[in-house]
Amino acid sequence: MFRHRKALALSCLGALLATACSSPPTSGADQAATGPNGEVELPDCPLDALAGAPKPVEVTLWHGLGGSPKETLETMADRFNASQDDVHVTVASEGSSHQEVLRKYESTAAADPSQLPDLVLLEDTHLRLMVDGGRVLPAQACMEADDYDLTNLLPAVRSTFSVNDVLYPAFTAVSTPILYYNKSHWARAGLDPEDPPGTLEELYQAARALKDAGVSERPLSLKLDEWFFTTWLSGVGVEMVNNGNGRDAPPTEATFDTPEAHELLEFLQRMNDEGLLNVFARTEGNIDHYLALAQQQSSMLIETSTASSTIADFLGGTLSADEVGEFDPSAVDLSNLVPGAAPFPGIEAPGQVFPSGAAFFILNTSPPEEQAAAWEFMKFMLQPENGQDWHLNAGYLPAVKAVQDQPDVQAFWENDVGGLLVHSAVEQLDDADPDHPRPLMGAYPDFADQIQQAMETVLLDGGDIDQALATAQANVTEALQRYEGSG
Amino acid sequence: MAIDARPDEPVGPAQPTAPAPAAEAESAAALGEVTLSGAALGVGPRAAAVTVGRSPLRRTVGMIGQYAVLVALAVVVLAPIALVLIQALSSPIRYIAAGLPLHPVGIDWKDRTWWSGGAASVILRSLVILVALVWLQLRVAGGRIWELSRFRERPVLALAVAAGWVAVVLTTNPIFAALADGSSNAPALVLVAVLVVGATQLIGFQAGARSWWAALILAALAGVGLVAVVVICFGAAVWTDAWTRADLGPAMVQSLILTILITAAQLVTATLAAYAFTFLRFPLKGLLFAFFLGTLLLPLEVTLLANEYTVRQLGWTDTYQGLVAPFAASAFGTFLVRQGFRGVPPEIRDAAQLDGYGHLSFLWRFAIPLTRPVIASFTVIAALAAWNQYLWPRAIIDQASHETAQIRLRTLVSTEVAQSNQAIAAALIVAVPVVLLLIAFQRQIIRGLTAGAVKG
Repeated sequence: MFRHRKALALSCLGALLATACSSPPTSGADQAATGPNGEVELPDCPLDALAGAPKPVEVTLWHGLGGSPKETLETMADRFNASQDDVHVTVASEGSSHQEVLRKYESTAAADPSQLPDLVLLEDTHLRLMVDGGRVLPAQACMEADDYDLTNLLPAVRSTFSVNDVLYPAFTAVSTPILYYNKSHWARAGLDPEDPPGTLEELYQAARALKDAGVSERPLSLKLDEWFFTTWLSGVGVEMVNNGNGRDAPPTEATFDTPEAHELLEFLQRMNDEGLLNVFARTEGNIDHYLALAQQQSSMLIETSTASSTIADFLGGTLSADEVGEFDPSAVDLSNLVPGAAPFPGIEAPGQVFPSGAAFFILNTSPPEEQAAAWEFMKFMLQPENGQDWHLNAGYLPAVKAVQDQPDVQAFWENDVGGLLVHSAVEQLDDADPDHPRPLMGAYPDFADQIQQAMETVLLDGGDIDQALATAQANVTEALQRYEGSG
Repeated sequence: MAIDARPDEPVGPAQPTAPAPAAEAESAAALGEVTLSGAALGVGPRAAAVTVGRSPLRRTVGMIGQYAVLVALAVVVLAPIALVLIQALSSPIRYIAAGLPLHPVGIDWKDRTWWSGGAASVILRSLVILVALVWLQLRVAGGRIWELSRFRERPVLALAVAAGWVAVVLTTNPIFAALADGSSNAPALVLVAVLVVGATQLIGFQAGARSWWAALILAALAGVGLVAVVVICFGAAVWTDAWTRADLGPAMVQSLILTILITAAQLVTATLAAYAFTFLRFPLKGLLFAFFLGTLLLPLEVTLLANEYTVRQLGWTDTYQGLVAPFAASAFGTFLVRQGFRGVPPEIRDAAQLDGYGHLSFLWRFAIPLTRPVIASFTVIAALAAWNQYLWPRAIIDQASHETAQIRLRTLVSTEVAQSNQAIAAALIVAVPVVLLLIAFQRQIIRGLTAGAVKG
């Protein structure tokens, strides 16, 4: 018996060692974009390589989209392929979330970088990680080489996706959080349906009125997402991490344990204690916060602007854009749900947001002609008449200003319920402050986890705010230093 | 919030499936038996008068208790299946608007007849119905589905099958039309169909069942089951919508090939390795076996990165060898089959050796046949695991043309709230082969589970 046990232990040890040794080393590839003094040296975008290459040049694109964004991307690639003969784009779904694609990207990069695609769609939260990995060809290099005017892009989008003033991704899938609300409930509670709350204080007043009028049980439906927390705090200038929110240099310390963060959590806790908040944990595939609105337990929902088409289909039911837009309480059956949308209610003012979302990165691990071909596809997507599909069908906000002037887009905002809803997000993005972009850090996933945990501790478990914030801050600092140490 | 029960994870063996007519019919038959015995209670006192031992009253109460428990269990088992089916059939928007009722709402019906959809589809549909009818008739007559010779002995059974098929075809066509038009006489048509189909089945059942009322109840259940399966599986649009949207056809073929390759490889390696570990003598046998078992402690998640690294460097992405290689051998299978082989009496081994059997012929002629239940169980386990794989194919498949069914399912389960019922429908479709496999191996598995329970 003893002999067997020892043998078993030995075999486990051996097997574990074998795995540990064969796991891929973390790559410390060269920094392509920054020089020794931190000044910017753009690498070459090999535009000329396309001319001499045998046609068509194959471009592979990895993404983790689902539903209509996936279908839109495939349609756009098909249109691009049909529009010319030099480049052929293959769109490959590599999972159902950006995290899954990132995992695959990283393990492929470690095993054999030549198997990486030419383009990869990842989130803005992965920006630092991608740049530090040194496998991204900054889109700015191609834009400058091809005389594409960078100022076509909205300033807030440009600042969000830039590191050291270099824009990395070319085309982006941008969204911002907005407030969806049920206009019928407003009318039934005696509130003005065209005057949604603009600040947290107004949000509280509205929730109180809705609850007192007995219109909804828990007026605000809120998913506990780090994104909202960071958006609220960034709106009033709180830096979540040091070194200029990670924008001036890689951050070494978390700095979000501030009076503003305390006040925000206290505010949410008070709403929760008074029964004004319908709290949902953020888990994959969870749609309960939508259902709370659909079943009219809640009157408001803070969610991404990309959800506008879902809300329109799901909650608007058979309503027309006229009924939803110019709300006339006497003409509509008030037991129905009539969705409306408003800018994100900030701590001080409405619409204090930063753009966020996914972005297409051109990879420098491909042969030059494929890099140039990938840029060709990006350039196609950046043209307003092509990029508008991204807004109309996939629900992402127009990052290129000129998309807003397209007649189809104008009509969409007028005549489509989803278009009506998303319009407030578009305006909010136009006015977003480019000086307050999302914090930038390599350890963003850890940061997001910790913030989310702090929110859950306070709002779901009734934990202490001071302790939750202090723990989260300490853990994020540790994660930041671990990331820097490993790089 | 029942709508949230969307199958995010690969479908497990316990995943119920609606489109499998056999499973449906079986549960109907099981219910039928319960009902039959419940009906028997009606004649209880007189029949019980001749029984010896416990008092008739206590016996009756005991039986009622037993059947109450059985019915409760049946409800517990079937309710989740019913809920999943409701979720798959209902368009979520209308389902929620209706307040999450216990019946499907807003079903999208196809405008079809029995004959639409091309020859292959008609033949397939007819085959499914014929197999279900043959199974029902032979089962009630006390036979098994492959004992087709019974039809020669009792031509009335064949008549029932033929009449049943004709009845299904003729009576469901107007139902399809009525449902597609949203006409209000669909329930009446369904009732007519149930009665007609039930009547055709009664022809065969009255010859095979124990009594006339048993035949009547079975016929009614068969009518309800068959018509329900035909209307729901062939009439609702959600199945074809899910099938085309996820492009499940090629993906399921891909999964099937993968499953067959992995199962075959694991069977060969596990049997041979188990043979060596049981019957051969070689140095360090115990240590090697412990090493073998040690790999059980390393789940796929631990070895994923390392294996992916290796396979990518070999350039085996998007290939079958890349998909199969890491799973060609199974420590669990080796262990299981070895335990089975250890049950083979050494006398047989000695006798075989004296008769001049070599290793391979002993393995093939004695060891494997004697441990068939164990090997069958392992086959099912290996096939299930291979079919339900997600993590590894996802890591190693880059091109859409090589995606397995589970990967396609994953892409359906996304943020598309308005079509979430298609994801459930697709999951049910992908679960069909699993259920068929379980039905096919059911007897072997049960024999494997109870092997050794009674010492002979």
